[in-house]
Amino acid sequence: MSCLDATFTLTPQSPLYSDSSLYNFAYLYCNGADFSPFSPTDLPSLYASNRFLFDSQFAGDPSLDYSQWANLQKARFIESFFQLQFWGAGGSVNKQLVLIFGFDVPSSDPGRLLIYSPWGKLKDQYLLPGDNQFVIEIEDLIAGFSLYYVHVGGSWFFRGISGYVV
Amino acid sequence: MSIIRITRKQIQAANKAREAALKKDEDFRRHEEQRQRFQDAIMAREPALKASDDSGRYEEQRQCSEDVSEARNVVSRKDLKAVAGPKKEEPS
Repeated sequence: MSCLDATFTLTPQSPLYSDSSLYNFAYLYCNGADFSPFSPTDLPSLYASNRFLFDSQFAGDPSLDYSQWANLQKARFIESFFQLQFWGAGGSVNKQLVLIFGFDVPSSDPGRLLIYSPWGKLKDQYLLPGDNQFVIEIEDLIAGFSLYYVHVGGSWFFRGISGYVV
Repeated sequence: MSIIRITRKQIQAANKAREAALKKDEDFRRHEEQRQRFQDAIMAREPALKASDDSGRYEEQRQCSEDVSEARNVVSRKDLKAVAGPKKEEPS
């Protein structure tokens, strides 16, 4: 069995994918992550392992509506932006995007994310110890769009997002 | 493993909500304008870099950038050790 390579993989060390000849982009913003003085959560260790840490002590309030910019800008979150509608010779017609969100949970307490678009909340996602990824399927690439992953609980590491245009 | 599905309607609704927020919220508009400038800067830079790929300069620059990042990482580790100084003996 063989697997396809990801179209792009966005990580803390490599947060930008651009195919400017087709005006296709994908990138990550990180608006607030943590580090400590001690390995493995000190900055050199996090850099070497290509991860962001989100500390439970600084999690946002899960009851807030993060589709409101005033709330979102005070939260700790990762944003992924995708503009992939000019894909290949056939454009984005009948193209879907599958995203794999990679994470680690270092303790027995689950991490917790609220996944938002500017339209509203898409999912209250728990990051369970022993698990390391979840999948987001996007039905259509007709327009550019952003997804926000708001840190609202537990301590966890963000590893990256791989995208497959299929 | 959980799977989250986003439909075409949800993307359209998200983009309408974004447009409305841009009209309503000055702070959000400033943020988005800054982001657009960032994207335009990448657009302006990338073709020029790729055009020089024949001579291997694009790859060279990319590798150089990675090397600089790695060097910074090494330096920062050394600096940290220098600042921390030698290990002190525990009082017996």
